[in-house]
Amino acid sequence: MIDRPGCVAVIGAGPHGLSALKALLQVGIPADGFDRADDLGGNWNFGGPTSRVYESTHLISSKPFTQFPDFPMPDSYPDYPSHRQVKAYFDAYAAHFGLRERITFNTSVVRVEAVDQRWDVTIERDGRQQTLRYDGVVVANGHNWFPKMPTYPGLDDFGGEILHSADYKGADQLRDRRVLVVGAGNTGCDIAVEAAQNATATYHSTRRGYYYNPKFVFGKPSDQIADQLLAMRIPLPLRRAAFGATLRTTMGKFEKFGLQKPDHAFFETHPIVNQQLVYYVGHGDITPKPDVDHFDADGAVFSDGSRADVDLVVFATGYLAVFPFLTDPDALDAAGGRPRLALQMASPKYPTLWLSGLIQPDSGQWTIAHWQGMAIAAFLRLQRDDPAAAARLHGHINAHRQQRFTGGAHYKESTRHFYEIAHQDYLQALQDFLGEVAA
Amino acid sequence: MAAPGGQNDLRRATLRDYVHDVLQVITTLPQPPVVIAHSLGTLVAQRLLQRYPARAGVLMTPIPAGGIPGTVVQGMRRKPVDFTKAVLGATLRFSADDLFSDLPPEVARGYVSRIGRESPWAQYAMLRPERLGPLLCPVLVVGAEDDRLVAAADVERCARALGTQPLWVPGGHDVMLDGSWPDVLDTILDWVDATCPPGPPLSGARELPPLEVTVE
Repeated sequence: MIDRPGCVAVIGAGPHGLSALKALLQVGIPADGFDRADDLGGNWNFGGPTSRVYESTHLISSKPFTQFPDFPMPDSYPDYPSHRQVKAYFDAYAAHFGLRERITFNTSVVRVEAVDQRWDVTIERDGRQQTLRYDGVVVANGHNWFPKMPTYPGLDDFGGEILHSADYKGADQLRDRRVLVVGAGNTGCDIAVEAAQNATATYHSTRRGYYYNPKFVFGKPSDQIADQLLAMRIPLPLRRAAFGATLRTTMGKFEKFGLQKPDHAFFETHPIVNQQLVYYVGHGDITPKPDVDHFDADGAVFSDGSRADVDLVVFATGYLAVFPFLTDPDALDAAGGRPRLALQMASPKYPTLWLSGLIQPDSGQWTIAHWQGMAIAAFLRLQRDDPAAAARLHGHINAHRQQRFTGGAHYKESTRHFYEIAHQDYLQALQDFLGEVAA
Repeated sequence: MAAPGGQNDLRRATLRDYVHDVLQVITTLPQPPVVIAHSLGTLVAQRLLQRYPARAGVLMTPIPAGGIPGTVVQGMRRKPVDFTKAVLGATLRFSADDLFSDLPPEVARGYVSRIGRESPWAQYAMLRPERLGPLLCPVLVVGAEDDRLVAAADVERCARALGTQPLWVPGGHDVMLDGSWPDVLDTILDWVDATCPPGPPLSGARELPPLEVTVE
């Protein structure tokens, strides 16, 4: 056992792990990072064990809302950088702040156990284990890597290939095949578009109609227009009307393309940003389909009775957040697989256990990663310097841990929206919390 | 020279664009630098340092974020025409006398001739008080004893707002060019040496060496 006095373990060296590591070191708390991969970047470490980006992945939120506020992306980057540019950006961030030296790579965290107000963290490399003792733990292991596989009648009889989007790396996997893509998250829509460009036939099954937002409107990234409306404090119904009008003038009515009509209001599902999907539907290169009813040996039968014979089914059905290393089942109050955490970050039971990255914003991710890191670091410093005050504050935020940050919308119930947040509400909550820590 | 923030017109550039440009340079550096700023640049630096954890900051003849009443009153009295024009959007014009106290006149005039134009929005930012969060690094505030532009009371106010005391050095407003610049530089470097310990840039990393895992 190695004792790391005063030190905090950070699990995962993706963007949330990096920003938590940096924030802790910045406020004077020593911290050690761990990652099972041989390099940093997490999801953005293309080809790494938990990377789920594919060859063509680009950001779907624009640069200014996605970058770390204290380390902006280079001016030479486009509005929507590629995953390679994103990886280079994280490398530069880690080098600049001296983070890489603090990370132990090729090392999995297999066990995190509370012992005498501290934490025993067991790591594993090449099948051998070692236990280290820490004052705190920040879990930043990501929530977009463990595939959520759906079940359908007859799926076992299907004679073609079945792939989860977790294992989708590039268009070669689609070339000259008949492809069914299931799911209309941003990944499902990307893969449907790549299938339209490469496969011999493409079917896209979605359980409901969605709003397919353009990446650019009025010559600007559309999230920048959306935030201009937010900055003008335009209320939700008017923003919905403005978005609807913009979508109708730029993209048209989705029903006219044979897509399902959205069954919900704008902002009630996680935004899809894809300008090309409707284009390929309009060219007949993507055939929209409703929910899959069942599979048979040759393909799928849909809920409207139609069928599609395919060689490959890609399930772009999302991911589940899993924390297999936490030994205490009460640490996250995660009945039904959904942790109930104050500010979507704080363990209800242990003031020294925090999660960063259990958020799915309707905007860029890493600006929020930065502020989550700052909030966690500020709290853990208070915990070190004034445990009584920290306990009071922890009790206070725990009392409000049912609070969600929806921007006034009601999200559709689905694992997809477990972690959904409206960025403006959430950033305000983090700012308020930082104020309470400083008070 | 391109205008700040990728603006193609200097008249449209804001102080925010200036901050953006400084961060663009900083992010190309191998580690966080000491940020040394002068005059209007100190307002850029203060905005920057409440967001970015530099090793340290040095603010020479600073502009407090809370506004510059003393400087405006003094300027209106000394140069009413130039200050009025500046308030209307013109670049504030300087004479050698405004900036230097201890240089041969031809050298001083040479420096003055190289001063470029300023964005009116950046100039206005000096007049508009704003509340800043705490700065993320140690700060040294440097006042110039013979400064004829920034009032001593404003230097004091800036230091007070940052929880420190100004250090007064000989020279006019442009202390980094005036005759006594080597002494000013030595003063600043001594402070930087005393303030920035060797080792990794972030303080938590200096508390405990990195983990050496020997999983045998």
